[in-house]
Amino acid sequence: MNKRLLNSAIAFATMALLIACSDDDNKIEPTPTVPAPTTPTSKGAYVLSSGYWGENNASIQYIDLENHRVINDDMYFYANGEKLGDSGQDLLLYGSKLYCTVSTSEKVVIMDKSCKVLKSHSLYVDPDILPNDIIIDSDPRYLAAHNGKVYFTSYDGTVSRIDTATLEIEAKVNIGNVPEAITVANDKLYVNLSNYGSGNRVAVIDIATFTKIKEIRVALNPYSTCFTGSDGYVYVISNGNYAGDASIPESEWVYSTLQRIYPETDMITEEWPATFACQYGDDIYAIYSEYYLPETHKCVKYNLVNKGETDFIDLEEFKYDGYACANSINVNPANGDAYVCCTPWGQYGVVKVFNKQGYCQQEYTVGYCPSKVIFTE
Amino acid sequence: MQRFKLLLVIANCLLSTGLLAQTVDNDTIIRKHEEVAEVKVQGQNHRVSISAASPTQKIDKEQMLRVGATQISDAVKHLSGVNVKDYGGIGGLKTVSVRSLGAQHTAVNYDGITVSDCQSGQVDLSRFSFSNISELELTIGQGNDIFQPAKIFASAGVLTIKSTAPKFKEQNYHIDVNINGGSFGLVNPSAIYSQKLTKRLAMSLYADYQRADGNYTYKMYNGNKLIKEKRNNSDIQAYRGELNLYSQLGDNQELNGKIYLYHSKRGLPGGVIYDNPYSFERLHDKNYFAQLNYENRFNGKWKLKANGKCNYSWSRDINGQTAVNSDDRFKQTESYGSVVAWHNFGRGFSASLAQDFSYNYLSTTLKNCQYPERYTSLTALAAQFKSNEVLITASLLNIYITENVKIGSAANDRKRISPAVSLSWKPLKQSEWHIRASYKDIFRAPTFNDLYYRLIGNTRLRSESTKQVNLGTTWHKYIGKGNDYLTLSADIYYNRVKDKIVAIPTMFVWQMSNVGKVETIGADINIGGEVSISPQCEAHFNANYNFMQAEDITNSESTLWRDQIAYTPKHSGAGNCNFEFPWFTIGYNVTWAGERYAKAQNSPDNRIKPYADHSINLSKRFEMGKHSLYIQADARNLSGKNYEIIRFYPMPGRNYNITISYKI
Repeated sequence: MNKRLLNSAIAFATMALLIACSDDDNKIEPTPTVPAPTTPTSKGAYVLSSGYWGENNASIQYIDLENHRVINDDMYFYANGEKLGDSGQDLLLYGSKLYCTVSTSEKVVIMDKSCKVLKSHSLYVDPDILPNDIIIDSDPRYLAAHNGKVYFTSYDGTVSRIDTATLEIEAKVNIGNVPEAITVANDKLYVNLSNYGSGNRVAVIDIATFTKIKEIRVALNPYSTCFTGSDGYVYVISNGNYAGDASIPESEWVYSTLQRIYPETDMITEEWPATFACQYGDDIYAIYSEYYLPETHKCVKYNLVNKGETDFIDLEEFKYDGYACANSINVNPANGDAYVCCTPWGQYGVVKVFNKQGYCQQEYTVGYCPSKVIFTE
Repeated sequence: MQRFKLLLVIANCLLSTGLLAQTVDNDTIIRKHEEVAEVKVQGQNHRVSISAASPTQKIDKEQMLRVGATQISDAVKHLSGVNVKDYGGIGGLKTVSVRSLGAQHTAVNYDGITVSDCQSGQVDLSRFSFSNISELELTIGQGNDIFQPAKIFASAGVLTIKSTAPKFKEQNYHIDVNINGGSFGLVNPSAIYSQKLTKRLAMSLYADYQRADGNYTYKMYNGNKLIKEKRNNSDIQAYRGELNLYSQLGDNQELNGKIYLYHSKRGLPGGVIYDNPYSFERLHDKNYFAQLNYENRFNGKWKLKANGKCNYSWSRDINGQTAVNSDDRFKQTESYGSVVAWHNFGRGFSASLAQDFSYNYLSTTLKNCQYPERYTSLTALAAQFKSNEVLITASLLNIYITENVKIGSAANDRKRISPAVSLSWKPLKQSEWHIRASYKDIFRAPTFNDLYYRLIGNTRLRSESTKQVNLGTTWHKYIGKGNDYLTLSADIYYNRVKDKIVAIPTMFVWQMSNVGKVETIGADINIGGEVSISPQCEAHFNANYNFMQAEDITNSESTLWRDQIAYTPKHSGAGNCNFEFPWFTIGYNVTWAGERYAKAQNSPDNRIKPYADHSINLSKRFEMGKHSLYIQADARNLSGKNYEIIRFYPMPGRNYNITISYKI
């Protein structure tokens, strides 16, 4: 009888032991080997892959444009032994340094060309040190550079200035609700104020005094696009209110619109339908994808001189599993090639390269949700 | 005046019934009517239903305690063929998915009526209290019992939660006080008071309060960097109340009613975000419902059942995490009615006809809310043949759904006929050995979020359909003396999901779409038993192993082709063993899962490591006359690892729990 008891006790102990041993690889361990970092030497392009929200998988890749390959699939991880963070928002190459805003991780990272961190500014404010019910949300958003300074917008309604020599944040100015993309033109900063879809202003800041001097009225919802063309004009895209939405009467639809602003007068001179755009020489490359109006979708070139519109890239090129998923268009200033970022469902993102005629030249697999391509020269 | 009169009558009734209650004899007035739908096996406390033609597992309160459960989800994790998505902590979302089909394909039935959430389509198991639950039953495919509302026929799997119904023997009242406390500030007192009012009428009152801080520490690595933090904003406070009335209208008639109240306020800690420990999203919930169940067993040939329910749910989501603070409210209502008739044709043939009707409405304060409403009509016709050797069930379900919206346009009507067949065969007379086979074809309609959520919603969505084929065998044998037994079951299955509804990125905005096709091949193996090791020691044990190969077969050109779908372990299982000694009971249990992927792509950076969660418990019951005291202490997740079921939602490390329960 007692023997049986003993036997079962042994069986019980063995079972527990077996199960306890079987999950050895469950130990929370750091990733054992981090590959060596790479410093790009060839001509190329950095790709910022934003990653999925909440999944800490933002990453930076480098495309070697001489040999047409991605030479590093996660530069930041290789260089620093940890991941970049959650929601990479913008990437800027200025001088010999890279600047990256990591939105949900609430930090601005300054790196060398191998993505090794030189300085990381956390904008996170511990709520425990603040008075009750004050919530500071300071997600950094977009970047611009001018004259030895780098500027970034933040959801606390400000633009901050980083000195590129000391790498410190040295000044901050309040500019309005929910600032997004930012650019420099004519010694002024232009900042989209989206106010989460209900804003219709671009704030203008005088760089010398670092004060907001005015607001320009634009179409509803200026968001992720605000850049200065090689022609010196400022280009702003307002994303409107999702024209075609059945719950909004047609008379109230505001279409996604690219606006060209002349920075001497701060007047809008021209407008085109566009959701994503970039500029090369006399051409604007534009993708127009009004969400609820699929029949309006197109990828075209708008000519600044003859005001004409020509077809550019076949939309079929952006389709994966039957769904078009392009969400950014960038131009290589050296040759006018268009770099389109695509996010196929559930898979790594893809950067597709098209020549000026709109033919696909290369396709590079990068990180999740690529959103920006910047060129080394 | 009229109202005053009514009050007087009610008061009078209550008084007189109270007095009456003193005098009536002590027979059990609440006869829980157990149909002889199953071949009765003595000592029904084993988990696997032997004669079920589709895999059916039952776990009663005693078994739940044996696996150290303090929440319903803890117990469900010990059933085979299921996958509980657990976001960690007391207040974290916990949903159950059957055989990789997804939580929206599992119906949760509470005391005879299906609980629904038309907005998200999934039911959070953490919303139910644990202390007043007497039994859980999980059916995969179509169960044996055809005397059921049509809604039971309308999902791929059903988790039935049964609350404790009072039984009166020596006394006319019962009090059951329960207190459960544990790590991370968990305090959960509850009480049930039940009273026999007349020979044919009884009531019970239930109240439950739960609070927890949930601020457990966790360790996680970001590459080589150790993150050692505390979960914050994961506190919860919840109140639950229930009033149940049980009445015996005649010898063959019963009418039961329930009023349910639930209030909670909790923090939503969110996933771990690197370099940003901040979290401020709060969720307030209110849920009220009232339900009635009526059953009439006219004679051996006819039976009738009618159910009705009115449900109101309200929630408020406050998010201070974004630059523009959001404060959204969601309100949904449901009205539901069902009638089932059953007829016995003799010679083992029976049939049932069920008609359900439900109405759902959602209103939110979100911009451009479309105020959708849905009318659903379900008609189920089922037939069954039963003999000592075989049990054959076939059913047809007709589904009709129509929707309206106040603004914009509604989705098209949905019509469909869904069949299910099952067979259980007992080849040998002397042996409790069964072979079973079943097939079920069913779909889930897109939820209101899928269809109408601002921007992301898509009214052109088709329903997500599933086909399930199951082949299995069960065996049960009494061994040795007394109640010692051994139960085995093994099933293999093949599932196919078509038109899986997922959010996919399009140009600029994400959109709900029917993209996925999934093929699942799996096997569930269960073993359970009870052995008397010595006159002083009785052992109970249960173990299951599940194999689930659920692959994406959407597009053979895609890099996702034949990748295991997200959050579905290929290998998983659970086990427990308990030794009952006269002076105490000691138990050990484990739940484990192999590697999983957080996304569709099976790349190393999406891999989630395997885990095993070991727990032990000690318990003791003291009986003194009509008083009964039960004490149980649990030590859980002994290895202390903050494993993840959902990526970036670390589970609590080693934690402790004490339950004290007193009954009279």
